[in-house]
Order: sequence, then C-alpha cells, then structure tokens
Amino acid sequence: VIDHDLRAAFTALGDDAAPGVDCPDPARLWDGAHGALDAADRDALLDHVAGCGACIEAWRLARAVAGDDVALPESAAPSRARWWVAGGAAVAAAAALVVWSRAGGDADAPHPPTFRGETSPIASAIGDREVLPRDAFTLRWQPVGPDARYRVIVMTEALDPIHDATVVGAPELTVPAAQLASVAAGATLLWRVEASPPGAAPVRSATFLVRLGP
Amino acid sequence: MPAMGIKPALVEATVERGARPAAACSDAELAALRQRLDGALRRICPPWLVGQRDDILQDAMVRVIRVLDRTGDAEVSGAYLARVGYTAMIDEIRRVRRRREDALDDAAEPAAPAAAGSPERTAASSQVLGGVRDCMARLVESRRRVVTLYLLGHGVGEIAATLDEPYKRIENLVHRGLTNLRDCLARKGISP
Repeated sequence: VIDHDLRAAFTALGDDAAPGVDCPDPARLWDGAHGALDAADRDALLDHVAGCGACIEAWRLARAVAGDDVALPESAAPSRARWWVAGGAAVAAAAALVVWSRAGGDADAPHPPTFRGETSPIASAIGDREVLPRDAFTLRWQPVGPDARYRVIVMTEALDPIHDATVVGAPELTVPAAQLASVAAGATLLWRVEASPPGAAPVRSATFLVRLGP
Repeated sequence: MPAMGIKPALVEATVERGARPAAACSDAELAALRQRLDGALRRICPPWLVGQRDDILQDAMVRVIRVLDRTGDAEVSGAYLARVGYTAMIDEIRRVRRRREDALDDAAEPAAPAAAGSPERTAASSQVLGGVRDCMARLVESRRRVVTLYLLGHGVGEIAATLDEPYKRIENLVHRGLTNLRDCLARKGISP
C-alpha cells in the first residue's frame, strides 16, 4: 500500500501553512506523534491534524527527532534529511500529481506536464525509477560546475535515511552495498542532491526515484 | 571564568525572561545541555528558520533551566531535551507564520505566491492540495484516522501498535481508505 505521491501530497499541505487558533499545543502534538496520549485524546488530535496543514508539518517534525539520539553527530542524524522531504520536496512531489481539467477532460486532451524537478538546475543523469544493482548503486546527476561540492541524501519511501554523503567534483556517488543491506530488492528509494558550486549560491535538486536491484 | 562562555549568556537571557539560572548545574553541564539541544535543533530546523535558530535555542535552554530549578535536578533525559527543543521550534514557526499572515492581511497589494514556479504550476499545486484536503475530510472517521497516520509516515505495523488494533484490520483500513482517497481525487480530476 506504499503510495509515495499521496503521502507527498498530504505532507505538502503543511508547506508554509499558517496555524489556526485551535491548533493544539506543540507538546501535545509531540506526545501524539510518540504514542503518549490516551485513545480519546489521540483520536481528537488526529481529527484535527487530518485537516490542518500546520499540524501535519508539526507532527512530521516531531517524528523526525527521537529523544534518545539527540547527541548524535549531524552526519548520523536522520532528521535533517527528513526535513527536506517533508518540506520543500513535498511541494514538488505534490505538484508531480497530474492534474487535468474536468471541463475539458476528454481522452484526447494532452495531459499537462508533471513537475518533478522542473525548476532545479540539477537533473538526474539516470532514468526515473531506473533499477540499479546493489553492488553498483551509483547515482549520477548533471554537474553544476567544476569543483562543486555535492551532498547526496538517499532515503526509503518511508523517509528512513539510507545514506548521506558529500562528494567534490565528480557528479556521481556510489552507495556502499552495506548501506543497502536493510532494503529489499525492488524497493524504490528517494534521492536528492544539494550542490554548492564555488562562489555561487547553493542549489538543490528535486527528489528523484530509483529502484534497488538484486 | 565560566566554561566556554556559556553561562553569562544564559544568565542574561534567563534574567531577561524572568527565570533563574539553575544553581544545580555547573558551567560545563550547561554547556553540554546547550550542545545537545543545539544538536537536536540543527537536525530538525527548517532551512528558512536557520536565522532564528540561536533564539530558539536560547528559548529552549530557558525552558530547561526552569525545569531544573523546579526539580532540583542537574540532568535531563535526551527525550526531554528533544521535546523541549521541538516545542520551542514549533512555537517559533507559528510566530513567524502568524506574523507573515498578518502582514499579508494588512498589505494592500495581493500577495506573491509562496512557492516558486510558473503560475500554472502554482495553480496545479493549489488544486492538488485543496483536493487532498477535501477528500481527506470525506473519509469515514475510522479510515481517516488510520490514513492520516499512514500518510504522516507511520507504517501499518506501527499504526496497529499505536491504536492497539490487529495488523490485518489496520491493513484493510489503510487499503480501503487510500482507495477512497484516490477515487475522490480522481473525481476531482486529480490522479497520481
């Protein structure tokens, strides 16, 4: 029942959403996201969250930080990586849903384009949902300039971090097979590049999809 | 000389906000607390809020110190620190967005779209988001709660444990709920 686009569209409701006057206290959202409320309180909270963009975002942020690992070094922490999926990437993913007009929705009408990655200067150099073998899981993208520094983040569809590494120069990164050990063959992974060209402003790619081979 | 220059800033901040520094904590302990809180915030702070991270950190430290003063303890758990950092950050996010909305309400000119991109993209995105919101509201209650958790990133097993329900029942609710959601979106001309 994995449905990345629906999840992305739902979480995108939280992007830039202003809170309402009836939004619950952040501490209650934290408790709800960590299973610390009784059933009645939890149900009431979920009824609110389902229709409140600001609280959808807050819930996801609550899940993105775990209490016992707050001292983890940044390189080992999953939450920062989760943020970009919950935030900016979710907008692009939501916009990637194909929309057509009901009024003019005949079968011959051309579908408007999908938008995933449309505005980013960093394009993937591998196919969408291309299958990469576990022992040669090399992600490639279009370079943004010589000596650029690239941070590459790879996650599961459930937004669990798989790999987070930085390379300089070459626009490619091979994810070690050991990092993929917990991922089943055939699974779809999300990946994204954040580029820092020398002397220029950093840019980020859209979220790309790739599948893990045997 | 206080360790790492942390305490003077804390004393100043806590006095300003009406709190009292935690007598039970040494400078080094406070510095360690601050470092742990900063680590938590660094990982979850959205990029657009990075400029306010120091303020959020200071606010979170004040909250922690108040609790330490109340309890007389010199230590707090990682879970507690994470919770405090989170609540301080959400409070700040809400403040920023309320201010922005108030400013837009006061502006005579129409607001620029928040998301970058073409007008077509913005309109498409708005249509999708509005459709998702409406279709979620139309789901029957039991399915909506389960689908909400699922779309928030919870796995089926985790939802079953949270709601204390059999795995199979939750799996069915997720499946039926997502089917309802897709059907509703399709009727609105929105399709994954």
